[in-house]
Amino acid sequence: MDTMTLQRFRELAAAWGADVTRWPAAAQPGAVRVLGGSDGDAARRILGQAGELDVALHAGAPVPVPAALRAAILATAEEAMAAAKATPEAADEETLSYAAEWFPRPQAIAGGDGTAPLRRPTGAAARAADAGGWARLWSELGGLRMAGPALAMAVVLGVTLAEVRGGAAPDAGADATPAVSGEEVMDVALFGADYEEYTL
Amino acid sequence: MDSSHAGDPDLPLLHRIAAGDADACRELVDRHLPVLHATATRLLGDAAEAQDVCQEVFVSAWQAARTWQPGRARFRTWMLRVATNACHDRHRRRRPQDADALDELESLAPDPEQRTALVEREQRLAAALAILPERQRAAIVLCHFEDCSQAEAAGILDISEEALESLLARGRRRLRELLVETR
Repeated sequence: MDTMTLQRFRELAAAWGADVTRWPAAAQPGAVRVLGGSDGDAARRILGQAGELDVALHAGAPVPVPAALRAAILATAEEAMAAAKATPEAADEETLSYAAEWFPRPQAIAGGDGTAPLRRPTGAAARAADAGGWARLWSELGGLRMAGPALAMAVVLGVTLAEVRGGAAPDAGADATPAVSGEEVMDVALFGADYEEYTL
Repeated sequence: MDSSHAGDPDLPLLHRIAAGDADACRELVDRHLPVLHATATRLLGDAAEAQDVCQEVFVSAWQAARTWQPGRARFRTWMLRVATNACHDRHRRRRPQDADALDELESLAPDPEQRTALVEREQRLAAALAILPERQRAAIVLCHFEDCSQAEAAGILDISEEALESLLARGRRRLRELLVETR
């Protein structure tokens, strides 16, 4: 147990003031012993002198925070968050979080809290996740309810395209593509001046 | 310096902010803005500049939250260190004003018809703080106004605990000359 001298007591009071409870914790027991010992009266005089300045220091009123400052700082928070979302890193995170909807995190599959970094599931977990993802995709697209209308639309679209291309299919044996000479192909490939489409 | 970072109470908030939680930003601001604002105001003696510093510190905080490494320092210590450094930069740019502060202190003679005693004491205190050397002022503001512990204040100022005690003692001695012995 270290014994605090009156000189050390004076140095601490000069730095920390008259309230011994605000002195460094390690020094407080020694200070209490000095106050209760033979140097107690001298120690109390030292504290009295330090207390005069403490009174002057604590005359300062609290500094209230202007409401506008708080609002301005919160606005900077919103800007920072918006900027973070706009960065590629944040965009990747967004993509990953969307992907996680279709391929749940391993922790989620295992019943964890999902706070670990996102990893692609493997093995049986991956198959389970993929199956869950495709099932959800199928469900979100309308499931069997939409299968009939989608098939009908595909048939109508096919017939319409056939009509637009010239009605009946070309005769069997007819050459559906025009003959192109090797020289023309080279003109196109080399942007030759003889090929009129590329001539100004 | 600051060994009291274990169990930083702000860590959960920082994680939430990194995840884009706006409510966590509000909680962090409400928790720390009063101390930050009071510290900057007392260090600079200028309300507008103190508000600028507060905004700068929180803009840095939003950035830092995304890459915060627990265990290096408590958030409050980091925040006050950034603030005192920002105040230091501003002081360097306007050092000639210190002479004005001394003139102001000397001109603040008690005048009951114009000022209440409380307002006069506050003004004398602010003017006296402005005269102190910057590091002494920072030590006194952190330890006597914002109740920072010895370890925390030493961490904020990036000095040893012994050096902090020396700054405090010299700062208090000068303030005593300005406030107590000349009133």
